[in-house]
Amino acid sequence: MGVIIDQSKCARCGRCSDICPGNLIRKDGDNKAYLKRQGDCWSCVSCVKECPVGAIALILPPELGGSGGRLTLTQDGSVTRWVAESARGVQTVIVTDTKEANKY
Amino acid sequence: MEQKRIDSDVLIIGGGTAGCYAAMRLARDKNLNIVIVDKADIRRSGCLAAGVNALNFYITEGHEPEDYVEYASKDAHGIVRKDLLRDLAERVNHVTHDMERRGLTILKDENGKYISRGWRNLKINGENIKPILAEEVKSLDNIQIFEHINITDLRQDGKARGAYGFGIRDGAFYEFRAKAVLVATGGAAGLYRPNNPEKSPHQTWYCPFNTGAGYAMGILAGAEMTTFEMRFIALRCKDTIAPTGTIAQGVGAKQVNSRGEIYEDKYGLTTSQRLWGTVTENREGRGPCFLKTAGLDEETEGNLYKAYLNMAPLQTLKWLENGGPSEKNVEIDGTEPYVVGGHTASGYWIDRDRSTTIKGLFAAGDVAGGAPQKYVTGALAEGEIAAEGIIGYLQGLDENEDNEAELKDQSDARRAEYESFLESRHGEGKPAPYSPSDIEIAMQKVMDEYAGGIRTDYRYTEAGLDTAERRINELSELLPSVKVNDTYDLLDLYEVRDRLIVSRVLIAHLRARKETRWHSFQENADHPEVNKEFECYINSVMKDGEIKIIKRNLIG
Repeated sequence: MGVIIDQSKCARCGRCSDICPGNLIRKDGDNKAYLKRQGDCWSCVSCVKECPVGAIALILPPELGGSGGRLTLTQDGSVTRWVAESARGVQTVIVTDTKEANKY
Repeated sequence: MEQKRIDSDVLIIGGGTAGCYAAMRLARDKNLNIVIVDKADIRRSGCLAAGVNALNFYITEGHEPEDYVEYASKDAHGIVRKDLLRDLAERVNHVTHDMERRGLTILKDENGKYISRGWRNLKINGENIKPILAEEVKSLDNIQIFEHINITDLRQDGKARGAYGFGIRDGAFYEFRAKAVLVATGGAAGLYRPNNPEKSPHQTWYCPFNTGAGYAMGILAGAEMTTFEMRFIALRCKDTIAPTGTIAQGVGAKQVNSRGEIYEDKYGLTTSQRLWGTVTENREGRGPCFLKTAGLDEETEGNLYKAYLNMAPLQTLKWLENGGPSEKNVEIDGTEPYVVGGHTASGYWIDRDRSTTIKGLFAAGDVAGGAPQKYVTGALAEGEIAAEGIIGYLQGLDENEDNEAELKDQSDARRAEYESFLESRHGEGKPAPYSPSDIEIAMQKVMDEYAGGIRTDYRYTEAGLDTAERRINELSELLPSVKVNDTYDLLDLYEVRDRLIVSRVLIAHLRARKETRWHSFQENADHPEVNKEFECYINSVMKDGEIKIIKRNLIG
């Protein structure tokens, strides 16, 4: 299932289309990004990291245990601020930094 | 199609770990012009797109390279090329230190010493490993990078002299000419029906965009391949198919069945045995199986959330949605089988300089065979070794001996093939009832049912392989009539073509090993025991469309 693109936010910059390792993101007649086939996404979130306007979110489909939550992020240098939002609107924020190694 | 010709000294197909690192080594010779061509954008292309969270091949203090050679050999029940493994083991520390210098973060103690996860694993933050490599190769003047180009075939006249492909975005026909070629495209995912075929077919362990292109172009050109039958099947977090090593080795969680019994000791601790144990527990009615994490403290859980965001963010989202590992044990499951030389010994049959059996063609990383448990650092090291092999090859090369007429015909034929597929979009020629994805789904079903997929708990019979072979051949014959609307569809079509070729070779290898050498990875139900007669490599060469099996003696 993978990422979903909110076309109402899309800035038409094409960065998501450039970065997708599967060449899955195309531009429609209005130059806005769309995913060619939803099921082809690998959930690598490269496009979520590239999108300058936060138009792309990672979702967990019901068959994999999802219940409507979504994961978005913003980046500032080495720091990534991940925001998971549940269907009820509860937010969990986790900050990672590529200068800090994983503990496990 | 518009025709574009690019000349270089060395063509590198695939800008991943091995390819980029090879390019960096080659670029030190300022007289060499190097071209990297990639299907996507090298900042995030291939299997490390989301990141990687450990370096699993590092020789820690108190250990020797030979310890790793022995470990990998034992894990593969003896079917490895120790010579190739040894080359890698002697270099992995050097490439690790080099990557750290280039910006890769590695966990250290207060004295500046690496903190290892076991005797051969380092904890890192590898979220940005691809951007680090991409930035490095982009900064070097004598490396040119061509992205969003799908390479389908080698340009060769007995010697590799480049490759052919098409631009996914610009629709052009590309002819890359070079004096030497390094294939570093990665392995093959998507051969078998995946865990979640309906809505999430690409929620796979191995990168679903690694479609076996590098194997296929070599097989078609007559290169010798080795040990395809040693498939890799990953034991993963169920549904998300996220890594388990971070939990199993990182926090020491044991594998338990539904009764809470630790079962891993019963089956053995090699990579294939850990998987086989889980499969067997499920089959015998003691599933589902888990990694026992319930009761972990909050800090550990928080660190696991971060670790997974840096490589498989879907798992963290799942924990936040469904309850974290401190609350619930993490269910585990086997994936569909892959062919991937970074984990098993499958791939090109190579020499110590990483030359293949085709002159001028070198292989490194997941496409190169013989050295399982290669992982990221092994791929980096192999890229470097291949680069040195190429430099040696170029020094002895006579430049004026290529067969121009043959190469011209080859180029015309490739271009005509792409154009004929693209012309079908205008409704000319044969009716085209199927899409590339229809063929792919059919292929995955055949492999799943008859060649040891998830459906049969990875076991196969020779009678089943006969059916698989027949069906794969029938599906291959359908390719020319497949409907293609644009170059994105043409990419889909060649990805299926590559997978069908790899599947054919895989079936031949599975049939040739008349024993069960590795449970689950290669479990021949007609020959369920290990047989000493098969302490050898199963190799193959395709000639005139037929696959010929060659048995070779083990090399120490």
